Amino acid sequence: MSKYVETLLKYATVFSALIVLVLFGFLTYFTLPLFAEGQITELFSLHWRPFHGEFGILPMIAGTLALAISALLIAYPLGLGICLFVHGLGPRWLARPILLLIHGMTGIPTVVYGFVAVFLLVPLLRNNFSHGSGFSLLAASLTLSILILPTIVLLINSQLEQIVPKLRLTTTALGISRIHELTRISLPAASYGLLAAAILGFGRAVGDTLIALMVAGNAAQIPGSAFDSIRTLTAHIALVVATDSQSTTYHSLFACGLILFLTTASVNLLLHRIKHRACRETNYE
Amino acid sequence: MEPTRMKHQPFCIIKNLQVSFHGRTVLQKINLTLSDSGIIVLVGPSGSGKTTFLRSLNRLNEHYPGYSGSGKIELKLPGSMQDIQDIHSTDLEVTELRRQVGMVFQTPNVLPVSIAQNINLPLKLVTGLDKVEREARLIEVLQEVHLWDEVKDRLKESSSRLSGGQQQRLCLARVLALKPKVLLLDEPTASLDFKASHRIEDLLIELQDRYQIIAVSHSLRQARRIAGQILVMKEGQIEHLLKKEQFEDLEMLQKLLDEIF
Amino acid sequence: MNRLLNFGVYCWSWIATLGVFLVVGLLLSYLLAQGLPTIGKELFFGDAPAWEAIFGQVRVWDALWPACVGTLFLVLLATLLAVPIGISSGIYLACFAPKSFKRVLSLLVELLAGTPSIVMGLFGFAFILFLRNTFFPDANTSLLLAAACLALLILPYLIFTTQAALESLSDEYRLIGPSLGFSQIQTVFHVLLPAAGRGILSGVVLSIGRAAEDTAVIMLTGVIANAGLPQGLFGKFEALPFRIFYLAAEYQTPAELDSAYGTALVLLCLTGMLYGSALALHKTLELRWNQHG
Repeated sequence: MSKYVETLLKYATVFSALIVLVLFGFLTYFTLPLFAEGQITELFSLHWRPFHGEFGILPMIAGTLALAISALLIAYPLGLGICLFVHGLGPRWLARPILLLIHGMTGIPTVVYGFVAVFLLVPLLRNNFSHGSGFSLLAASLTLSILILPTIVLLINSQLEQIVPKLRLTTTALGISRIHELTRISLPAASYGLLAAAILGFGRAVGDTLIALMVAGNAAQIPGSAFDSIRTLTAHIALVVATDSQSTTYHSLFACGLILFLTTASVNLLLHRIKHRACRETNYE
Repeated sequence: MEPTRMKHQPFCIIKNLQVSFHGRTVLQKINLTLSDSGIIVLVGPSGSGKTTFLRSLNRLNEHYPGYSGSGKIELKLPGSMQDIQDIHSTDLEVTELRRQVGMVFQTPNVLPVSIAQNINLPLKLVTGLDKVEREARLIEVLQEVHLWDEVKDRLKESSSRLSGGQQQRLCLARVLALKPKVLLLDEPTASLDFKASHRIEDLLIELQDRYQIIAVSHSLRQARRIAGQILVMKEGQIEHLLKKEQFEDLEMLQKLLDEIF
Repeated sequence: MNRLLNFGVYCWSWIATLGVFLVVGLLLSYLLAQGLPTIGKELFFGDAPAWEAIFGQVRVWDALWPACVGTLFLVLLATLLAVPIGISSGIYLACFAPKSFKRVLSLLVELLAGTPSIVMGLFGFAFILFLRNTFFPDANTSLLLAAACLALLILPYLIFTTQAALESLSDEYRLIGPSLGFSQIQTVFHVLLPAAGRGILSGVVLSIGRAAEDTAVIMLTGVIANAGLPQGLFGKFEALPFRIFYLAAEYQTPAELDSAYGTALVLLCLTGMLYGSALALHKTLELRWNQHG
């Protein structure tokens, strides 16, 4: 009897684990025709004009990278600042409320961030800068940075929480100031957390759909400035499926999906390795 | 109560016991014959392997990652001496061994259910007694640990509302309900105050004729009070096996221990 | 120079914290200010009489009710599909899996967790294309498909939280079962799971919140703007987050815009409540274990 239960649990787990391989298989299967028909070079061209038979997705790759990197560049320093605030630079009684707020931010739906950005941020940019409609790389990266901020803060914080209490008594006794302790000792000791936060934040930013779709403008072009409208791979998939074009465009769609999947998968493999190394090193101490 | 146990007979023979975790040796080459004369108390500095030694008697070490062990342990359980280290032994399944060699931990580990369920659940799962028999056993063991009068009116209440000392006695009752032959106690009073500790000690002295008790203790005072024999451990080895007359004189004992530590 | 740098870091930590505090405050107060006045019978049922609308006797136009029902069904179905598999997997990984096997399985589940939700939606869409090409030429995106894809999205959360809740139990507590002669199965079901129950429950609530807010998955798998109440497992449906997205992009009249604000506020309250209770469950759990030493 108990053997059956264990077998059942095992099958459930194997199922959960195999799903991701099935997903990968499906995406590959539907992308393969592109290779067979020699369209793979066309895929990596600069022009998306489905009605002219051009299915280039380079602009979307560029858009995704531009958005993810700029969002990370905004969110990461902010997140670091908040972590330092919580661990000693701000008043003690504010630390818990701030962390609670950051926790709460993870509960705000993505679509709500996008929605508020459309009606607050975009008009602001439109009226203050004489560059187009306001739907732009800048608007999207500002909004997206708020979305990925909790991920970054919570990851760095969880590592600082393990390090700081152990060090504080010693450093205080040695007469080292709080800010020196944080910047010279604690942060370097938390280097794995710092790295992991950057990688995970990037992964989150690449995978987000709604904010790019709602506030980035969705023009399939290589961005030239922060005020240009861009289209990401994720938004591209959503737009093309919604407009229900002819089935030839589908293959390029699955190529986009495959690229996204491989990107986030490499991000996760990287994280996995970092976590492993961090675990091993703390074990040897 | 039961006159089945013979005094001064060997009940546990250990040959070349060696235990390590993640390649780090915790117990090394222990050879020991324990005979039946009262409570056996293990003392020694922390990290000397007391808990590991205790847990090798009911094979609980196997639940820790990185365990590897060798050697032979024979225990006198109903019938004859049995080799308990032999993992593939079909005569004695590990669950049956653990039923016969009961264990109580440092901190009172009640299950998050009612007082009655704490005793009932293991009985139901392990022994297959019917409801009436279980009821009788419940009363019997609660009386045995002198808890019955304190809890008889609130058996359905959550066990987490008992005091630390009561919880520890409940844990003891839970083990006794399974009718073990040997009782292993890992610093059973470490988390209790003086009065509650004293109470448990009295209880152990009372129980020593019915069960072979082996206990780890952190206090020399306690060891002297309850022990029939004291085992002194150091760095994974047994340094001394002291008989009653050897530790009755406090000064002599302290002198001996000063030499060891 | 050094002192200047220190002062800069110090100022930055205050600016960052206050800035984020302000942004979130602005966001919430803006939504409250714009959304609160719209909350009312009108927002949910439009012109239709409330009771008849609730029981589906009259069709509701331009209002929230069908989207509420759609989201409710969607979330219920997704949870129903994901919870048994997720919790079973979490239990297996925490208590049964041999070490090397566990490593492989965990890695694959981590990969699933990292997969963007739009890709999960694309997977569902591909599945329909596959069905059309093979067994069912009439296959189409639907409530069931969307729920199944959402289930895949929340599956890793359920596995991780179950596993973490079980693995955070103290070593001594895990030994109670074996020390009483329980088999591993008995230990898990009678000793470990009851103690980890709240942690697991908080994981379930968290994943319900995740399923309720996700938009990208359902966009590709069967949500549409004016479906009315869901017409069965294989029909199209409406959902709250999609309604917000749709109205933000396509609103025609000020009334529709108001409705969008109302919808956003309703969804925010819903997920806020779910995340809040998950957090509370988790916190009391920590408290309880800390008290136990």
